[in-house]
Amino acid sequence: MSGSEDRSHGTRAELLAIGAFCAITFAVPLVVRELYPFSTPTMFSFQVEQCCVYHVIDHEGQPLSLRTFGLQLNNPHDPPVTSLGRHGYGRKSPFSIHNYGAVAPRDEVVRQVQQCLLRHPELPFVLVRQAVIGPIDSRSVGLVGESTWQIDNPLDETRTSQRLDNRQR
Amino acid sequence: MPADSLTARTRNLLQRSRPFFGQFSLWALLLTCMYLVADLGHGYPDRDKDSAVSVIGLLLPESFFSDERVFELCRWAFFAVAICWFFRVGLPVTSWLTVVFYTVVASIYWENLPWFRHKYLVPNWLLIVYAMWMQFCSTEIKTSLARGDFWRSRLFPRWVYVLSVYSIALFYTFSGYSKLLACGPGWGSGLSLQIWMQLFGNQESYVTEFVLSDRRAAAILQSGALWLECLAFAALLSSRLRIAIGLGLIGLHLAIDSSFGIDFRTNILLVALFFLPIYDLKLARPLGNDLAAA
Repeated sequence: MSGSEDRSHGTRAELLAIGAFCAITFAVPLVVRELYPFSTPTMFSFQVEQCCVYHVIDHEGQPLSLRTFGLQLNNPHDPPVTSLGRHGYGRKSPFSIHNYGAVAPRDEVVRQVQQCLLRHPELPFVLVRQAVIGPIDSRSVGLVGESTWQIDNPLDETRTSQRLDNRQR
Repeated sequence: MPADSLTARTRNLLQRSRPFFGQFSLWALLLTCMYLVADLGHGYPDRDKDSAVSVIGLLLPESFFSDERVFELCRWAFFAVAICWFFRVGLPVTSWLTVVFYTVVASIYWENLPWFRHKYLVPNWLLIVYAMWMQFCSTEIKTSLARGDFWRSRLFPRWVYVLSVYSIALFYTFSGYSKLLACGPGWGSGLSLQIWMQLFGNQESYVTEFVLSDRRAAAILQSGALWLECLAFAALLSSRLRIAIGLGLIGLHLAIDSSFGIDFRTNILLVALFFLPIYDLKLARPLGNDLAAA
């Protein structure tokens, strides 16, 4: 008798555990969205219709790191978590004006790059190329827009202005 | 659902079989988890903290996650208890400790990333299911090992297999519905897939070439992936659906690996193990009875 009672208790406990496991793993992710180990995997949930690609070249034609100028694409695969009053990921990415799917206007790019050039007095100017990838027709994607800007180092303008002042004296 | 049918299904779930599939799948799962943990880095602890992205992230201070010594200690603790579990030592305590340390190590990793890494999720849930198996059957397991008739004893409850399939299916179903919630059925239009391939795809991959060649081809692949994920839950309804969905998911991961280089190979292994007809082989059937089709 006690053996069958034990088996009955064991059976009930197993069924309760199965039910609890199913309930928790189903319900909690729907609320928290991303809270390890609970997750409704959100990778590739972005839907984009265009995207930018940036290139930065120095005055000698050498390519420069996009991160130096805040033009890198930080995370194109996972949308940031927004549940439970949160917005973001575990760690912050370096600042960038390059938002996935968006095309930053010229003024914003120039302002951002000039701020970064202030930390690099060795660079008199840089060339920034903004290429926009999007649908070129109903079948394929490719280059749909392109702009190239020479962005002068604000320090260089200051130095030029100082040289002019000295000459005048 | 009629009471008789519910009782029959419940009895079916509790039915126990010989432990061939259970033991070999457990070994495969533990080796998979060891590979994942060995491959882990500490992430980017020097960057500014953003949000809490794990349960323990809500409970513990940031210093816990940024200290590399804590990470390494938890990692080595995981290996120690996982190896004990592998050799069936200290059950069921070592099984639950394996779950705890795997969860902690993966959580630390997530807390130190400026993105997410979802390939650690499915193994985590399977570890919990298998620890539940140990919890309910460790006495019989230890007794059978002492008697020397482990492989002939009925030790593997069917619910362990069913919950494993459920965990994997739920992961993909949630992934599909996340896309639907974010963008609606238009997510599968093919345009965003072509842009991803143009920007990030391996240009020498046949998959990349196929997607970029024509938007309709891209739409078929992208919509197919979306609905395959959304309907992954159907794997619980029949063995034929489970096999078809399993093959589809394996193909999806192989295509993503080939074109984007995004590694989900551990998921490929686990989908193959639980979705393809390995459990249904005669070795897994209970003594004297044929296992009912899923």
